[in-house]
Amino acid sequence: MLEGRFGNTSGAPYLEARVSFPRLSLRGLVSFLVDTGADGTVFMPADSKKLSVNFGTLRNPVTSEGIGGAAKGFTEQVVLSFSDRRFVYSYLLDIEISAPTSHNHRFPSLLGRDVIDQWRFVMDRSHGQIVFTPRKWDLRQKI
Amino acid sequence: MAQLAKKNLASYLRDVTPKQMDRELRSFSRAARLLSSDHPRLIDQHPNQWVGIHDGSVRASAKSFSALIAQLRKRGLSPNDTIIRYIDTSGRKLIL
Repeated sequence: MLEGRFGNTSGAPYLEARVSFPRLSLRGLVSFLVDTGADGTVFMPADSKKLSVNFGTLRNPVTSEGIGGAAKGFTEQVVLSFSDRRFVYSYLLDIEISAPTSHNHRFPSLLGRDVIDQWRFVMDRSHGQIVFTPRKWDLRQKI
Repeated sequence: MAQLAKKNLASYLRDVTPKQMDRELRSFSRAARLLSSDHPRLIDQHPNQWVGIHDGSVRASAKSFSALIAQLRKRGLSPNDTIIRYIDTSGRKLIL
């Protein structure tokens, strides 16, 4: 089982992942806010900048809709990897890299249903428990 | 690099072993626990600041993101493997 955590100030569910962008030759570690309301995974500007994503090299512009209105971004292929100490589960996905704006630069990246739909997910705030059981994966490697 | 196919995923990840990935993730997740609700709230120590957490402790803090990145690099820490968060005191609800 993958173990998540509740955020310090928000109490929101978070999960850490290893991220790599094949075309950009970039990799890093990211703490994602687990968002069952997000159709897909979104990489927010703070995490893009820490991984040194050059926004000038991004292709495939896309516009998505949220409670704050329309948001511009770019579609990019990514590999997300998670560990439960027995296996590393990896997923090859097309995610959205959100373009920086004056209001989104502090937001955490979102782990959306493109990943969550492949897992069983239990969140029990009163017991401090957030666990995910992968049901599907693109690659599973024994540790 | 052209689009990666799922059948080539193992080949793409061949430069890093599952054990290495697990080690990286465990270390990062341990650091992330500082941002968990069962730890003292960073909001009291670093209000309205960007913080960089590495190896389980706050290694840098700054008023701006770029200043934080500069501090981390000065300390020889890779931002890629560091948890970076803005400690917001506004109390505003986040609805994404």
